[in-house]
Amino acid sequence: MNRMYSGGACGCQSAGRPQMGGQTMCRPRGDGQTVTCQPTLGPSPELSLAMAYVPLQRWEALYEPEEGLRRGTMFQMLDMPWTVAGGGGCR
Amino acid sequence: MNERARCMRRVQTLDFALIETGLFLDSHPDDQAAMEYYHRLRDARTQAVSAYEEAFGPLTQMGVEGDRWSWVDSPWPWEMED
Repeated sequence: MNRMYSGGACGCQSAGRPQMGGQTMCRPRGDGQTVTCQPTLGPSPELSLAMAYVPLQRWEALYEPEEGLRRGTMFQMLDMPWTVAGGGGCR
Repeated sequence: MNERARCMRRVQTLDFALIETGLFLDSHPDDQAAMEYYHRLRDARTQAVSAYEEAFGPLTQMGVEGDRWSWVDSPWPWEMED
């Protein structure tokens, strides 16, 4: 049975072969079934849309302005260790 | 970093903190702690701009004082040491 996945979700992009219509066929681990990767964005007929939420930020845990400018945010809770691929940082 | 750059950095730092606080206040317009912080930063920023302009000339054309158009006396960006 074929199943629909959104792009990249099944992790088979490197193993699969391009097919007509932009789809990629690949074989998942274990059960031997063939899955179809759908490398396009948008709702899938078999998957429900997600609900997103953003919690309201609180006024707390500030960096001093100097440190905030250096780190790129004044709010400690928003200071996340984003790095670029290859190990380099963005700071 | 020379004294001019240090004074400029002070203004830039306070501008950054003001923008950050302003973004927070966009979604929390009644947060008193944030409002107090904003006012405190804005006062400090006003002082930092005055300190810079007294020593090194106007930061913007609106900072020109006196009887000479001192805007043209400041170094161009490519003439700045850092």
